Amino acid sequence: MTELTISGFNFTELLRKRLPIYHKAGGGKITLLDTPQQYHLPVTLELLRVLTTEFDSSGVYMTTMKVYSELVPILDGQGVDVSKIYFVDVVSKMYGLEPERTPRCEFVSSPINIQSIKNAVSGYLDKLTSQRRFVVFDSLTTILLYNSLPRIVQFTTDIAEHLKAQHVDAILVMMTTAKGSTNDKLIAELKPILDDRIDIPD
Amino acid sequence: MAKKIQGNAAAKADGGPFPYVQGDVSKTGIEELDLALNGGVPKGSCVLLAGGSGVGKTILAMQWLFNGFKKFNEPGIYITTTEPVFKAVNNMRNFSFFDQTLISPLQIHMTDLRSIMQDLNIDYTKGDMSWQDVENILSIIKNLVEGMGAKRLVVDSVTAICYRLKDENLIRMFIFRLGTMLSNLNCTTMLMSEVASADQMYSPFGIEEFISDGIFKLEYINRNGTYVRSIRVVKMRGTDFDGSPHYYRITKEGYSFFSRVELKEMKDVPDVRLPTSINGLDRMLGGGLFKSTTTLLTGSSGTGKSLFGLQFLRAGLEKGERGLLLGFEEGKAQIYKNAKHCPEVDFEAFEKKGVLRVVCRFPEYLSFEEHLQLVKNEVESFKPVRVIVDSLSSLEKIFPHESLLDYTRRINYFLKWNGCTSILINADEGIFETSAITQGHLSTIPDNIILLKYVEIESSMRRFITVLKMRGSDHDKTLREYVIEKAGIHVKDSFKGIQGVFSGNVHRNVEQEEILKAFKDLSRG
Repeated sequence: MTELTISGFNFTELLRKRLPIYHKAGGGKITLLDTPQQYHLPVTLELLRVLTTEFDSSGVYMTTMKVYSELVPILDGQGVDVSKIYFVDVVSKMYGLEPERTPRCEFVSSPINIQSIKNAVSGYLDKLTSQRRFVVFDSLTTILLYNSLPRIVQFTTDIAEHLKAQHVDAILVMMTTAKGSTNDKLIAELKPILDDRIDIPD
Repeated sequence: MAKKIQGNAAAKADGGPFPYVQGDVSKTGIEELDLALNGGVPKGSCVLLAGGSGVGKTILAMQWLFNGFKKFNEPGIYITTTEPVFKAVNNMRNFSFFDQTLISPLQIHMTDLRSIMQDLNIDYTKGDMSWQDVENILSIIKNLVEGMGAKRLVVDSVTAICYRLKDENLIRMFIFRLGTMLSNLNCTTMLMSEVASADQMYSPFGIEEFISDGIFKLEYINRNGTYVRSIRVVKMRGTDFDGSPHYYRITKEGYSFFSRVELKEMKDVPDVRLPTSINGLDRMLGGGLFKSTTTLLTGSSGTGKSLFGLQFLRAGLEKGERGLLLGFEEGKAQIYKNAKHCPEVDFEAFEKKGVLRVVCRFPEYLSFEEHLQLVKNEVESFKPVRVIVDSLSSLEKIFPHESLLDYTRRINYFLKWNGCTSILINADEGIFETSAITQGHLSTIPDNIILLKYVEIESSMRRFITVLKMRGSDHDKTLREYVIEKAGIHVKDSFKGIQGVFSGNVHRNVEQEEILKAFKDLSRG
């Protein structure tokens, strides 16, 4: 069984411990996953792999990082069960691509359009039938680049409440930035709604 | 104890009222461009990249962005307003500076302003954006720069935005606000300006250049049928800069500048002579040519100029001195054959041994800058002692005379600076005329001038040689006949009893001959 270890920190092992705890508590846990930029890809791949294969969860993956058409083969190649994921792609349209419509992915025009992101996520939640459900926001850092801090705090709080009510776990992926940055301020603002926090070491 | 504070000292102590760090620059990572900019673009500046289609504005901007992250760990943003991001990215795939893995929100962030405008409910298809729309766009840009700590920003192109603003005041305010905002964030900006026609200097609206801190003008220049790209720093606030054009090619590596062959002040010329080993010529030259000097060897067609060059090289090769022949008239095989025939030297064998390098190029195939680059590359890599350029006149067929003078001046300095003793061959148009070398000031450049000419004497064409100029040395000033033999050139005596050889108006000096004869008779008694 593969494991992802970064600077002595066994991320896979941590997920194996934490995810059952969320489930036992009835789900609806909001976790902040803070990762340095350079480990972002392996960390998210491992997160999705563990969720979909080891924990038999299904969920929604919102991405601002890679276009859907490129992402799916990467996930597939890394052992992620993509059949258990619905995608919200916030990159393709902004990059000027004209993606083909697919039932497994909603394409949002840009990270400014947070209402569309919210609608797309909510729409897919209804389709999730498994016991263990998740939503991964990858990443709040990117969405914050296009929106004001209060707007994103409001967006995250609203969606967190919605997910908690539906017992869906949420993982808010953020990328480590300089101390005192807007990103840092957002983390501070989100503290009241967070149930857990995972920090990937640099 | 009361402290005495003097005005100037206090101002120096806290560095003045602004947080400006002198010498803090955003390097392009392109050596020649950074040199021209005295280190780089002053950080926080807003630079206009002005040029027509195909000059490589986007490539330069992308190279600046990717170099910025790879070499200086500076995150950057690319905002497109014209072509979609995926197309801009696809166009960069073949460049070595490009690295797709760096395209991510916090490293090299790529975005499309049209998507942003659409989501801000701004109709980007119309040219009636309001000041509020501009403020909203600026706010997003500020958020992006601040959020990711970007140090470099590219707007490709500002022209497309200006067309949507239309109103001159809005354009002025937009660029001013953008520049000021980014400067405060210590982010350096490159704004692409599409110059569509010759009457537009740096921008279609003529406003952008006044608001920007710097201007790079990029052009595609036709030089006698060969096209070359050039970039010129027109304006750069906050730094001294080299405003002369710099020529470049776009290669797999991105911008590849032709290295400047600078006119450097000469080092001392060593008091060492290199013999030509041409029978009789070294006597005329006082022992040979001074090391690190340049000689213009000029003469009519068929006078053996190239042969002089080959013999000069041979003299060095036989002593183990490296020789370089830059041929613009004949191919390598022809030069090998000529040398084997006369002066009976196997150049191919010397080249195989690694002491000789024969480089042949058709002049038409290279631009002026590439010709200079050729000399520079060959000399710097091979480090020859003796160099032959055969010939300047074949370059004149494709360069305007001014360019030829510039070329000659630059390689003259460059070769001397690199310790080369060189012969630059030049062909005169006429058979008998001797005035051509002084035309166009070519004669003022080299240290030495040797002239080879024909003269008609008693219905036969004979050749003569004379040393017209030799800086720093006395030399034989006579006109001497020379012949071409199987082993090479043989310089003989001067034309005794004959006058007017140089002018071509040849006649016997009968009176002088008679006086000499009378003296001889008298001395015999």
